[in-house]
Amino acid sequence: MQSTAPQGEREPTNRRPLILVMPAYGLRAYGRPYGHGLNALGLDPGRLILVETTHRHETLWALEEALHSGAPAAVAGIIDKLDLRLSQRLQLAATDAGLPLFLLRQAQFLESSAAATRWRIAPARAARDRFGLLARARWHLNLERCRNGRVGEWMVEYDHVAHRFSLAAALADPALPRRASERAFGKIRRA
Amino acid sequence: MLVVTGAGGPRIAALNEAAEAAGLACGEPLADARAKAEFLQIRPIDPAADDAALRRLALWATRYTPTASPWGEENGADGFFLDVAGAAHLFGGEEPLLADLSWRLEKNFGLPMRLAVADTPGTAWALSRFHPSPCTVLPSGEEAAALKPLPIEALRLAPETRAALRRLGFKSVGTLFDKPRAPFAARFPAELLRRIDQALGRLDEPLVPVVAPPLYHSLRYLLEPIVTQEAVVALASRLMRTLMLVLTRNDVGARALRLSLYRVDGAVETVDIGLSLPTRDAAHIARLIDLKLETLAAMRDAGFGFEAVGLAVTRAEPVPARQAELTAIAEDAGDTDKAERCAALIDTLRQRLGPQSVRRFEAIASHVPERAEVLRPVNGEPPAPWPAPEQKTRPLLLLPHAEPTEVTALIPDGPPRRFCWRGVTYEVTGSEGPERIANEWWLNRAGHRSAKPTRDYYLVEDADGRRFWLYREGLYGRETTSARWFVHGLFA
Repeated sequence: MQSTAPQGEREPTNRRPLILVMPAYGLRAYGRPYGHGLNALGLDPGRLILVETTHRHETLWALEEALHSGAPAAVAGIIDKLDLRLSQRLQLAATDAGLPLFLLRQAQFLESSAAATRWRIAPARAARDRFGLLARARWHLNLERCRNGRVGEWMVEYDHVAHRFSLAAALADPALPRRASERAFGKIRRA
Repeated sequence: MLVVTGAGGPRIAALNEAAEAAGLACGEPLADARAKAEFLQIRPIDPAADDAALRRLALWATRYTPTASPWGEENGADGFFLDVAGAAHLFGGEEPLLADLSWRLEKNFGLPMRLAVADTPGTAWALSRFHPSPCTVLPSGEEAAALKPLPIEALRLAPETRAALRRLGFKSVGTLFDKPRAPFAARFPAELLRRIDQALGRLDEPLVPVVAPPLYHSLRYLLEPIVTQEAVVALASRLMRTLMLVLTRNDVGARALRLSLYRVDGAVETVDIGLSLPTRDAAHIARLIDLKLETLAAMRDAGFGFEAVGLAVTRAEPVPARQAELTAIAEDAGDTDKAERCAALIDTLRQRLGPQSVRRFEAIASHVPERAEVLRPVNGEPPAPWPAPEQKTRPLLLLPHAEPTEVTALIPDGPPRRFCWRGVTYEVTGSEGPERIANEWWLNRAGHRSAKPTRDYYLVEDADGRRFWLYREGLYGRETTSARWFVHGLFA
């Protein structure tokens, strides 16, 4: 995953839509976003507008169009191939519009781009409760590239009760093996 | 010559001038015609094609007035009405309009025509059929006088009524006018008096227009036909600016527009444009038209160009008047502006990518995961609110179809220990569930869905932290003896 965040501060957005541009063929192997699943992770699916395109040119056009209008709260796109020139163009459009632009990409398609940050997101083993059952879903975040910032790795987990992501409190979890917890903790401190 | 097959063998339905000269007439049996004339070209009649051609002609005629109504079966199905009230003066009066119409019909289509203008559709119909002159303009108020000498066929009556009247000695329309009405009402179908009243304007005759007449309409004729897309867009933008004045005066904005391109050879191309918020913004509409024309074949086969371009508002909705400068200071101005920009964005995307490709999630009250939501095209209405998130496990990605998978479990109705999906084997290290989702029995009773077995959903995690949503179909013992497993969604 790459994100092209603008330098300016984000204004608080409440009901403005989120635009997700995806090619009709893009996620076919993995299905489509599921509203109830997004809802469970705290994103109101009613705000999400799904734009389906049939070609990469259309995807790029739709992303730029969405950014230029300045109307949505954020723009996200699923795109397979992207060269440096096109990514610069998108980066420029996002900076001009002052909107966050997220490009969601599968790991095998990564090439260099003009994005401000690049995150690699991988699943991680969920936290177990004291009975050894799955308690909180976790993801492993790796900030591989960051303009004007430091790269780092984090482990985040989602708390269904509080509806928020937080850094995994690895030490408080008795079910995790000791070595893994030490490693996770070290990464958080380094960040 | 065209023939129609009816009772007693094929009969002549239509003929050309040469056949008429040979002494043939409509309605004659084909066998008689063969005896009279030697070289007959015979084709079966095709009412659907006739209908389509008449429709096209009526559509072409909307260049004169928005209300063009092709004649149906009861009118002979061989012409159309034009409601030129309020439109004739644009052509310099009714006579110049008729002259222009006949000239264009001759030039574009090579059709012989009989035209008449009158105050009522009934009289116009009668005059176009039975008046000696092919081009008639009847002054207002002279319907009765004009109809009197015409034969009773001019009243558009059913053949039985016509035959009955002729038997009684009523040959011309005039003989009916000065008779008392009551005996006619008692002896004849209501149609007779209705047709008389319609011809004289005592009764309204609604016209069924070929396309719904627009609310606002702006049309421009060009001396020199235009071919390029830029020219069409520029012209449409100017037409919109003309419309804007009227729209602003009435406090409405356009929700749907139709651009009509009248080609030199008589064909009409129409481009429909839908908007998600009512707008009066000429630049925005010009942009949408530009996008639409890009994907449309209309520009590719412009032929000799377009000689007239019309822009019509087919749906309008009230827009409260706003003062841009003043509200810009106000607190909520940003929101209105954002909403408008968002609508403009959605219009643009829909115009280029198709209305089905811009969609929004909508929740549906159903337990079955694949039926619990639907993707609806964004149409400008505010989205229905989603329910608050529940403490249920739902995946981020849902597969279009649940995919069968090979599962090893310790006990038949226990959680999976290992499964093979898309050729890869995953070792399950943790699982959550089951969540039992039964079929919707109330839908089964209605009988429009086949009964599906109960599903037990598990969230399983493999050694690398990948999380899947699996289900086992069928309850052991009650519904099945060998349950099948499916992968239905992905979490991470």
